[in-house]
Amino acid sequence: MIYFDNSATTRPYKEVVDLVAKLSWEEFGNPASLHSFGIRAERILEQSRKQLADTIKADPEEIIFTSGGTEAINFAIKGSAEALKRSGKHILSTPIEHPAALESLKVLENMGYEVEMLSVDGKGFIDTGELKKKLRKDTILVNIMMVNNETGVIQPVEEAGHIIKAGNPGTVFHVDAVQAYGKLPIDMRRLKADIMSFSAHKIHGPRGVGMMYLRNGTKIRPIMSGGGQEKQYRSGTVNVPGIAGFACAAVKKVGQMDQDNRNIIMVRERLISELKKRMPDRIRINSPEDGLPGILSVSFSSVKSEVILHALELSEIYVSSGSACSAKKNSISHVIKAMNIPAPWSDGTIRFSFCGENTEDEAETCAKVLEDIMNTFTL
Amino acid sequence: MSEKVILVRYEEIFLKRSNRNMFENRLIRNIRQRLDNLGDVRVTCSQSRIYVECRDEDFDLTEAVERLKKVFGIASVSIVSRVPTDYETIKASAVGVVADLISRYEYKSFKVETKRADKSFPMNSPQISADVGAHILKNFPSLKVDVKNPDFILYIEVRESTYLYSEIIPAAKGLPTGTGGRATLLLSGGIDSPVAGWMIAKRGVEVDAVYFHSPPYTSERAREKVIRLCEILSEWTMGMRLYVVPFTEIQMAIHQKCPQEYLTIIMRRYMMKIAEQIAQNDGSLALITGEAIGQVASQTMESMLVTNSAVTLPVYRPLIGMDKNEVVNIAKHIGTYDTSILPYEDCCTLFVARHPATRPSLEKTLDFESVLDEEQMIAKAMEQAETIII
Repeated sequence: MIYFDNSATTRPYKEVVDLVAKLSWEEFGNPASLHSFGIRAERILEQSRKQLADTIKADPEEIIFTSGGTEAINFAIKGSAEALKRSGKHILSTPIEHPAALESLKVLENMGYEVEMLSVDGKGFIDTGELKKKLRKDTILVNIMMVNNETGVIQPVEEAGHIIKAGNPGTVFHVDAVQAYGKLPIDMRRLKADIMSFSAHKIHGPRGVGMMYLRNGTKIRPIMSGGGQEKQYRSGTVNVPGIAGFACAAVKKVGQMDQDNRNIIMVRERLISELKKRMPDRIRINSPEDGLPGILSVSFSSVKSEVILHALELSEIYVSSGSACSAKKNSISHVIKAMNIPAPWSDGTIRFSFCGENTEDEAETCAKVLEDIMNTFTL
Repeated sequence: MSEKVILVRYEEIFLKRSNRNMFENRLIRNIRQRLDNLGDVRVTCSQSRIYVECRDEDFDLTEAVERLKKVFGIASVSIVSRVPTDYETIKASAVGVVADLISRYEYKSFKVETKRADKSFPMNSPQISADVGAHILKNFPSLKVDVKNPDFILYIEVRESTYLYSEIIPAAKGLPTGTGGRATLLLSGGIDSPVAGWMIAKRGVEVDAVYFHSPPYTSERAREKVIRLCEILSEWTMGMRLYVVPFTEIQMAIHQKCPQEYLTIIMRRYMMKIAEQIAQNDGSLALITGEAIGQVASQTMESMLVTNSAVTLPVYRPLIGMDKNEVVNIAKHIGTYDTSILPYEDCCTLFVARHPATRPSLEKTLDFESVLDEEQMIAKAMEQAETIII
């Protein structure tokens, strides 16, 4: 099996699985319980919070655990818009966000908020000049993802943060870091983001665990009602074993980030060079050269992406498609569309996403199989 | 004293005087098979009724009724209380049945209907109804009798034992599966073909299905969906065989060698030919399709003439004169609809010409087809076909 779909999810590290199993069995106490068995669980929780905070140079007080990236993003967008509605209704975002963000923004739009999209260029980059121009006195929230999940484009969030804070210090800046975490250095002392969203399972952690960074002093309205866990921010019994697994994965992933990235670059470069060698006229690389190495979007001519995906799976090679094969319109991903990739290419878009455990041999095998596919299934 | 029994009624079997035994025996066998893993049941037949007796304490009567509703040949079922034919016992148990009913429903009025098959019983039917009715009124002052429009009817059947019940639950009707031979269904995963298969199965026919799989143009999920459809259908058809036939090579060959506007029709002919070979291997006597006149380009009368000419077996098209919404209603009734509309649109649409011929000619079709190595391609597909027992 060749797994090139690591932006969809990753295989958890063995030590993560072992730790989650051990804690689920042995330390099943509720950290909110008053007895000493609950306090043991609380200690594990707080230790994990500290470890995770350290990976992004944040204060443990600023970490709130959620059920995953989607919840963190929903919370960040809806919760801050609600908390700031008296200061204005204007929100800025990019059009190439994850659906968790875009759909949350749609909900706000229906509630009467004014959501304005920044444009992106052919590589998917926002224009910070445009951001500066569009930022208003009544802009309450700016939402920009750090790394796009389909192309790997890295947005200039640090620069964006300076522009936002210089233009309107009251504007909350939310950065979706789900695809960036563990792959790019994140330093909350330098990054002028007020809220950031993270997910465990994209970095070899368990499913169903995520976190939100909430800068001290940032106003937010909880979206979950209940027992008031996580300092009233996020009700619901806290998933201690999952969070400990997240911390375990994060410490390892962030620790070996440079080594993983070097390896991933080799795999990526090998795949690109093999494809260029075997079918120079039939591929178009959509990802920017200076994007996240782990995400590579390639369009193939004359074969639909879903056909390529299913043909690859016959050889146990697993990837994602950037569009669904159907007679219906609007089947092409919003990201590919926003980048204005011309039609014959956009239909055949494939996303390869790598992790530190992939190898150059896998890249070569994948390219060989792709060559066969292009020869066999071109209609 | 009183025990719960399921009373199973059948109607149409009466018509088959000479074959009656065969139909009854088959129905009993099918009932046993469907209830097999529910516990220890005894299925007996007497005076044109079938009784399902459950011997286990924790027998799940509700589940048993749900399953029996899907056994072809059954007209209706009732959960009945069986008591010895003794008048005091009957009266006492009538009170018990009514007490149970009004604890579950907001019933205000009732009537009693009695059938006396055991003519040696000293009271006649109207006498029993009147007297038991009075006894119920005495025990439940909140109820009143309404012979025209009662909230519920208490049925009393006096036979060698006496049976009391209120609900008559309609069932699948049709004829017992296995009394009508075998037919082979071309199953696509859409709304129509499962309904077509169900309609033929309803007439007592054992149905097997053939699905044409075109990876990578169709996804593994589309195949899973077809398996799921067969599982739903097999709750009615007492199990079935599903043949998954690899079709990619044939499709690609047709695409490369035949004119665009004839792609679909030639593809359909290949599907019919392969299904016919499978049918013949299995002793199946007909093919079944979900076609309806004019629904799509390949279902015009001209197109069906051309596809029909590919085979010699009869082709049953039970939906031929139906509108889409009629088919949808049946699909919802039999439980295939929600699965059929799952959006695993496959890339087979790539093989559909923009303007397919709506009035293809047989002569041209045969001419276009002649460039293909039919024998070799079909033999290969047959050899690689996968059989799934559902």
